[in-house]
Amino acid sequence: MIKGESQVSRKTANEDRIAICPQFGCSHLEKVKPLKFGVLGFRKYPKCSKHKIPLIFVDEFIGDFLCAVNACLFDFSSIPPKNLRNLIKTKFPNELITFINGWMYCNPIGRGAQIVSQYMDGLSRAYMKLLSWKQRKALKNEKSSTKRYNMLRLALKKIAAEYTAFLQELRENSEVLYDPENLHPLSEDMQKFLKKWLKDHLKTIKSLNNIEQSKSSLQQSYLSVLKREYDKVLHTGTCALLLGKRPSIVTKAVSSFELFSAYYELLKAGICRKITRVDVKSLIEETQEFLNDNEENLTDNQENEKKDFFNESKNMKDENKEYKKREGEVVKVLNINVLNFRQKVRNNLRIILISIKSNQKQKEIIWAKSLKILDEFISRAENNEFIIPKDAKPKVIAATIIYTVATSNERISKITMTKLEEITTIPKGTISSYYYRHFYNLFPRAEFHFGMGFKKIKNIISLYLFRKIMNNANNKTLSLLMDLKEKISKNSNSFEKLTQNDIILLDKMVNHHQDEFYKYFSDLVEVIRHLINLTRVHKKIGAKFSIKPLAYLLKKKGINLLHIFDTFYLSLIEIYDFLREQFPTFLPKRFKGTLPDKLSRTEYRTIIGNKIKLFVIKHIYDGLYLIDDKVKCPKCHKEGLFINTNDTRIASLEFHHKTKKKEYHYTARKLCRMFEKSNLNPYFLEDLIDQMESERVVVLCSVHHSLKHSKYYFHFRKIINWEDIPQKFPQDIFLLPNELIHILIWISVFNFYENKGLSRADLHSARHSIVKNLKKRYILKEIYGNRCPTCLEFNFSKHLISFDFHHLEGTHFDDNPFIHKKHRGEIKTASELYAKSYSCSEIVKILEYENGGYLCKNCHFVIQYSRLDLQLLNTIYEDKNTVKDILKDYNYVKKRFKLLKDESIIEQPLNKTIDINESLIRYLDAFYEISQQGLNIRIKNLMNYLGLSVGGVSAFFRRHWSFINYFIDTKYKDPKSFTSFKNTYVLTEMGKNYIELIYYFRDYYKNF
Amino acid sequence: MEKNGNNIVDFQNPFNNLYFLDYETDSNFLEWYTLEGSERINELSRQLRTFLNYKSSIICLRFSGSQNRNQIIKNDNIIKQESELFSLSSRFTSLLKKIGVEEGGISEKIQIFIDKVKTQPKNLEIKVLKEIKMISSKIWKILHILSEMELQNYYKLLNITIKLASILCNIEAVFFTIYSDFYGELKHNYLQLEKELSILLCLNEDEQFETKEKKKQVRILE
Repeated sequence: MIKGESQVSRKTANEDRIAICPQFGCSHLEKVKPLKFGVLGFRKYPKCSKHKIPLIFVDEFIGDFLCAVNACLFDFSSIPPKNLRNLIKTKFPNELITFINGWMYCNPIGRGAQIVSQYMDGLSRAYMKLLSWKQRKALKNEKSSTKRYNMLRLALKKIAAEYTAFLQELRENSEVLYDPENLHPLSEDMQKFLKKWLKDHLKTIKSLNNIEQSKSSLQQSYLSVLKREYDKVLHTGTCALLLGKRPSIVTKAVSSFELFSAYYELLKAGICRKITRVDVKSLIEETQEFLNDNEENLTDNQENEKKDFFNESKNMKDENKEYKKREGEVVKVLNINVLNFRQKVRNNLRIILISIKSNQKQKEIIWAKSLKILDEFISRAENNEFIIPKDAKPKVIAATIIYTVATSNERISKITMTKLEEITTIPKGTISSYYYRHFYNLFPRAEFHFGMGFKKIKNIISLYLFRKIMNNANNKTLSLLMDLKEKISKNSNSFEKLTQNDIILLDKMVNHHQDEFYKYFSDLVEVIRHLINLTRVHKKIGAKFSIKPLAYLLKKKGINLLHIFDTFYLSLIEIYDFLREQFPTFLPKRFKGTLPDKLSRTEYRTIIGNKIKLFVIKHIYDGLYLIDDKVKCPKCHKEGLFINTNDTRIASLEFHHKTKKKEYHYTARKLCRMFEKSNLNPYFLEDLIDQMESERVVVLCSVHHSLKHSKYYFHFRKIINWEDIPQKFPQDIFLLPNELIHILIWISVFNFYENKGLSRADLHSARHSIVKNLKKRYILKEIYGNRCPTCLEFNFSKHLISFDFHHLEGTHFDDNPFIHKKHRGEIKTASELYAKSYSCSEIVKILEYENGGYLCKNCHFVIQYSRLDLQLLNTIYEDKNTVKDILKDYNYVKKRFKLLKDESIIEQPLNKTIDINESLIRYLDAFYEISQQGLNIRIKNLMNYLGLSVGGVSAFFRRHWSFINYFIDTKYKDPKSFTSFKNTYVLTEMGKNYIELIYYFRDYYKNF
Repeated sequence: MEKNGNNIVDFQNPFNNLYFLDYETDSNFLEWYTLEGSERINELSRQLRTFLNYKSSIICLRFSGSQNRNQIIKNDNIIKQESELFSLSSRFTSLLKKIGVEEGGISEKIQIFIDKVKTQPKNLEIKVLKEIKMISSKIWKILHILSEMELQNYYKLLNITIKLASILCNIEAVFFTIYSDFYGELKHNYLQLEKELSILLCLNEDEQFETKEKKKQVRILE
């Protein structure tokens, strides 16, 4: 029965949990709910209805159950019974070792391991059955945020952990307790003998069953007899398995619950002891000695056997008692008091364990394993394998044992020597030397240890792999690894620079740490491949190589050389530096110094992106844009510009798609991203150029590029720039009446063929765009004259759209008092100002407050260098003269930059007082046609021409009189009535000219 | 400097500002394959039983006489399960190849594939993953059934089942991350059995009786 100390209490239970009757085999399971408000409810301490004993929680129960199972499966008594050993000694001495080995191999299964799973299976099913549908659903979702079923979830995890621990124990013991290479089938005679022995043995079990019923009065003695009874049953199982039969005999003789329950009691009473490798070793040695001495005539004496058995039991009772008994003998051998020494080491172990940050379960495992190692350490000293000096420090041994446990078990979290040094103040070197002297051979590291010496190995093998991959890029990783493995195994001289010790270390890795070998070197192959591919591109674009992005990329792919990131990064640096020493021309320089360590994402992308951009500009269309060995915007070159065709303006060059197929915007930043996403394609640059050529991408400076993308500006540049206007018309648009400018815009947009069928809103938007540009042109012309104030190369007529407002500093329209309240927060750029209803003078006021000025896009690029780290210029343009020129240009532009300041001369050229619509144009049309017929303009004539009533015409005259005045003169006016039929008007010359101007634009855009 | 694990002590991380390659997880994606995870606790105890059954079969195979083995005729149930197992495992292998598993590193490859699906979910790839999961559970079912059939007499089938089990453990460990420790340990145990069996079968090859070559019977037509 399982202990009662962890019995269930509904008072302390915070949420639903599953509890079980601690009596093995009892199927009583129930869901235990917490008391209402912590006090209300019955059955505060639930008990099993059948056994009347308090319940315990299932997850706790399973741990105890598996403890009992392990105690049973790996008990010291699982070695072959002495009487059988003695019989085999006499009859089959040569098969004795094979027999013992086979017996130990069969033990866990022979002793009933299979029945454990049956019991646990039933338990798991019952557990899940008790859960409600809601609970099961909540448990299904691992990521569920609810904490309601936390205990149930934890219980499931604990059960899984217990299963794992059980499997681990099974595997570890299998590795320790028998020699897998010496497992041989038994001879036929031996099998016959064993069959006979088994038959006789079964008979003794039956008789012992009777004895068991008359229980002994002394509890301890009774338990010893009971254990002997069970061991006999278990021995039959092992023996049956050794004969190739299933150990069903065990289940027939005793139920699993009874067996493990009994073993739990035995474990508690201290009668069980776990069998160790030393026990088996000593058994084999004893046998070996026997064989060597050729001892004969061993008798099968029942009395002796009984005596031996009891002696064994006594010895197993308590480890300390055993040492006490042997104290006198051991002291002589070791010159130390073993008991005291052991106790001191145990105390130190405990102290160190308390200081270690780990969970309770892990600590328990470390504790158990540490004691096992301590006992083996002492027993080896007893066997004179080494001497424990009198002044041996228990603290040092304890620390080394804990390090040994942690380092030799994969499942135990790492406890480093540094950590132990912090806890114990024992130097790392001391722990290390003790470990290698006494424990390393028996408890080697579970993971391969990359010592300092491995750096050299790594570099030399990197070089080997580098050469192999360079010679044949199609070499598969596996074939490279196989090749490497063969070379290591053959100890060939392929790696001249490796010493014998290095080869031994590699050989050890190949043979004992295969997983690590494959992982490490397949990672190394990938690292080399990536390096080769990446450096090819870097070399082409003339960029220095940065290891850090590569390290991140590889980490993302799961390549880490078995290191944490920092160590992995350093390893990559070491490999790269070593390879560069060998191939200085192939591998580009690496970023060194302070810059790479602080290289931000933006800066890295800026460098690589600009390098790629420069490479592409130079090589696209077979170097089409290399004019006189300089990269130039072809349009600037055609226009005969000087500053903007210089190398210093290289940053302002952009890629323009001539076709509508536009998959990517090829900016420097995006080119870098494409490179990152190209999966390190070594032909990235070639592929990129092919792709760009297929998309008919051309190189243009920023100014000319923006011109290509302004649809309205392109179509309506005639009216915006007032280009090629016949001499008979005014040569400046701003000399025209404001309303007339709007009429011209209206008529142009209305008649433009592309605008046919557009909605009213779209037409309005097109008109608005022209107005915006006209306002901008007016302001720029009034303040700056005709050209870009800095480079003086781009003028406002041809390149108006390519002028930007540059802020020197400030808030970017946030707190500008001249901006209307309703627009605060909406306006972020200067161009957005023009979209609102501000007049030109208002716009100038606002921009003046912003502390900035206009300049062309190319100059804007230059002046914005101040926002980048100018240090990057040296990295992007490695030619010192270019960098110098760029800086010179930067200072020049900065110096010539002119702040926007001058409001006194600004007028309101585009302010209108009337709405512009089709009827207005029809009236003007009527004026012109009536005049052309030689008639005077009268109300009646207009009524006839337009087909309108007198009221409509009269209203028009009343509303638009000020505007009409631009076109007509009054010949006669009735003083009594404003709209008398007698009133006579004539079209003036200016009016005629204006109307003809309207017709000119109408016809121009009709025929565009 | 070469160090293992997390025991880096004398190196300060200078890359705190590098966040641009940080991995982004898609929590929605994770849900579908962790679903039903908790109910697999029953499966764990079943796995334990199956493993112990196979271990027991191998011990029996080692110590039982080899003479009978050559004359045993498979019963119908075993043949049925075997053929089903073979058809499922061939489909399973082709699916694994589809996602790029060639030799070894199954769990890593699947993990990479899952990560890929997480970042760029495509119906086809999710379907492949779901199918792998479904087929692996079907194969496990057959392995459970076969483990109860005392396979020591059909050692070739035993060999295949154990190999399959160790491969499947890799996959389960990836799909059911909460039980990855258990499946990892189970895999180690199966690998131990696999090694044992391969040594054992090499030994048994020598013990095999030579099979008589069947003479072709020719009927002479007169």
